[in-house]
Amino acid sequence: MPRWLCEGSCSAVLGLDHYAPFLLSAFGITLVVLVGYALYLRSRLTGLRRRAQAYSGRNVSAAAPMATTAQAASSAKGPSAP
Amino acid sequence: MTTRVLGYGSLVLLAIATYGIFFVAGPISGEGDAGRIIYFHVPMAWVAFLAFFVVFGASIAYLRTGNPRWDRLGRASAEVGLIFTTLVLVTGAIWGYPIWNTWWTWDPKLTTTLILWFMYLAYVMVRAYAEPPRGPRFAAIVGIVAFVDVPVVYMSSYWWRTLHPPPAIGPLAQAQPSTTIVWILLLSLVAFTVLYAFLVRVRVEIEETDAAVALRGELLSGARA
Repeated sequence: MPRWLCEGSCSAVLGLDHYAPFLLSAFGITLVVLVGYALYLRSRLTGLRRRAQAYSGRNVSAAAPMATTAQAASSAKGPSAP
Repeated sequence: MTTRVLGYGSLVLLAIATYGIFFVAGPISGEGDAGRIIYFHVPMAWVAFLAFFVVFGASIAYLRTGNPRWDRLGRASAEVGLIFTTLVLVTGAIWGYPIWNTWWTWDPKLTTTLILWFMYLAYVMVRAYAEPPRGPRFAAIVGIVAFVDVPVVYMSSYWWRTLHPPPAIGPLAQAQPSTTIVWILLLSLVAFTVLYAFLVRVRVEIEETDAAVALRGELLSGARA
């Protein structure tokens, strides 16, 4: 257990005993994991929402003519050889 | 709107609980300040049990109805429950070192909790890697079977009396802790429960948005074809 983490100073501020490093380590790990997970979820949701907005910008009817052209060109040539 | 309320609510409640843990609660007798770890270790264990109970219910509902909403709820709750169980194991080890003089021992409570962790890890992996529609169905079966371990974890300190202390509060508690301990534990429990609800809600929202994006992608590629 890293005693340098809280040797004297935080114990004095919080009025904790010599077990302070254990308590603060457990608390710190809990905080970091939960905040990290919440931020990860937030960034994933933001990314997905951005993608959903990008899709809703391109509607299906607008995409159709472009797609039809691409299909005709590839089907005329057939599957390309590697 | 509700997600925001849950998010800010959990922040406020966790801040109050933290104040209670560090400035209101006294050291636990015989454990010193390391004993304060129980104020977040125990509520996180309860919340993990709640999460796995939700997985159990959602899995049964999914197998009965086939509605993907239940699958999303089960998946979200299992992931959040796994995070809480991980923290329970880690904070328990940090508490154990000064009190038991060891980070880990094969005590029945610890062992059954580790088994629980592995079972829900299996759930998350099955759900992530098995293709639908088999993946959600297999995961639901794992979610039902894995829940069997939850009462075993809870009862283990009664069935096999070893190192881990029995529950401090609840129907099976033997000793009566002080009112301050009970209040701070309850406050912490409420704070972590609200946080759990917030995380599950966001996780379900991710699943729903992901499904909507995939559907739109399929529609667009279908229109191109």
